[in-house]
Amino acid sequence: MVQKLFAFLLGMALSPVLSAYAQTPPVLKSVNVTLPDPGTLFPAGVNADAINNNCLACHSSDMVLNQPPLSKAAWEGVVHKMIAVYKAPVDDAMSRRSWIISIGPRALPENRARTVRAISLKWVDRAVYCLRDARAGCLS
Amino acid sequence: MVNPIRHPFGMTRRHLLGQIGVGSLGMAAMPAWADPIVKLPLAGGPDDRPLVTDFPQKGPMILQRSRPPLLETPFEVFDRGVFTPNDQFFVRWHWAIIPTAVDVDQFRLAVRGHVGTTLSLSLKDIIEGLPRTELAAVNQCSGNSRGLFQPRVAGAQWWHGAMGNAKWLGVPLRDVLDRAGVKPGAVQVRFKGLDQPVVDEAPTLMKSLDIDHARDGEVMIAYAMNGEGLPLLNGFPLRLIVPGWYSTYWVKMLSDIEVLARPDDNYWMKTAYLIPDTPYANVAPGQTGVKLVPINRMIPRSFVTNLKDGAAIRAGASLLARGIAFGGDCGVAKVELSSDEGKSWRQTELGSDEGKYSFRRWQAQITLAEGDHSLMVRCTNTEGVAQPVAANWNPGGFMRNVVETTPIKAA
Repeated sequence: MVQKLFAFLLGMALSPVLSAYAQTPPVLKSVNVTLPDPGTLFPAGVNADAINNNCLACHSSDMVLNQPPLSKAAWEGVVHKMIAVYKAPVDDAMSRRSWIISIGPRALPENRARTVRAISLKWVDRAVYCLRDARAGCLS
Repeated sequence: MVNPIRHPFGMTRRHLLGQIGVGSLGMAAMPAWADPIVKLPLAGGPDDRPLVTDFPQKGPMILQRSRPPLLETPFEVFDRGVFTPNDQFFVRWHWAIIPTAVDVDQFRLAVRGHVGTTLSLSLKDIIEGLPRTELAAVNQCSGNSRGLFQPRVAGAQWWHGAMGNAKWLGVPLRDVLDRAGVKPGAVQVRFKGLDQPVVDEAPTLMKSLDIDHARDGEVMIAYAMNGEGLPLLNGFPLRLIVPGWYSTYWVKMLSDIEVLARPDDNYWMKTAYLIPDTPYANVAPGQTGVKLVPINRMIPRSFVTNLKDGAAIRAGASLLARGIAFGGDCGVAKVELSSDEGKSWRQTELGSDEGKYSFRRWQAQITLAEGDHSLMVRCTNTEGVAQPVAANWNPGGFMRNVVETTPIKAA
């Protein structure tokens, strides 16, 4: 009898299911939250309106502004994926690539909000590089 | 199935899409406000990120992207213990339509497809009517530390904070599947949450596991995280937990489980989240002709958490170095430390074992002579897999697990 009791207690201790039932679940309460405003526009520049109108529906500008220096081919790959797979509602009248490649993370004082402010003016060099590389309307 | 969800601004997707151009015009006039800036050591930049506190149910987080949110855990959080607090647990969403309200009485989880009985389970059914299990497990983004890839690759530019460890409480997926009765011939189980793409035609996020994996008794549907309901941005009310596997499978706001009689060929399994089928998913930049497979099991990692890059310490004085490690898809066997660029390694002392899928603490006393030093930390898991000394690379920026180096200065 004692042995049986011991075996039972041992079984209790070792059984993951039985011991798990000892866990008391929290009482879940309905939630209703507000997500913060997605923030800022892209820095001003040639075709900035197109980027603002075509990209911000799906993601905020910081996704682009936080990217590292990428080659033209890498940017084209990204934009192609956005259009072909993610069905980005890109305005056909616009060049589909030049404005993405041409955007460089450059902070402009009149357009800064929390994200763009995080990108300091030292990135101007990269914007110039982009301009040269893209051979399209760019920041200058 | 209709779920009681509310979309942002109460709009439909089409409506949202139509409005965004107009809405964005208003944003230029938004006042700037002062968030502190965090510098991430990302070579080539941009390395500045705001530290924000305005996301619901979240404390200070590193803002990688506002919408849909990508929030990184500030690294000092990992020094405070092996469990990551819910309010600083990293956040990663693919699509911008995220329900902002969930009614716990109305919510239903569907179980359907190749099953005997289609189910529509309430939270009460799941919490009170099914077995309970709890385990500690690391949840790590496939692209954690992507910002350190050289050459750099596109994607979320995380440093090391797209990971966290929690105690997950929920029901084993196996018990839910058994209640529905999986029919013979089932090969995979597909999972979907309440989030939706902004554009109707874009692929809804869905991930699948092989049927045997789904029924292994460890994969679970969690309703609690560290003893509390999940924050909405971490998947309230239900999240799939896939211990030892990358976070892409840990579907948030889980609302739909579909048992499949054929392999899943949806975009998120067939095209996205593919890795080279090589050790550590490693290839040379530009290398072609490599077989690709869906990302799967995690591999070991370890970090120094109490000394920052470039920290100044006292020369000749004993110092406690400590940090965290995890084995990936199994436990931590050992964590070794080197202070001479990897020429010699010494074993560290391991902290308490919270389970094989958990973070584990390590610590060691070190004494360093005057000069510049590099602290390197290397985890070997219980399967004998060790972190490599050379960084792995792949075009997706997935699965970084190189031995990390922390430069420090003794003076």
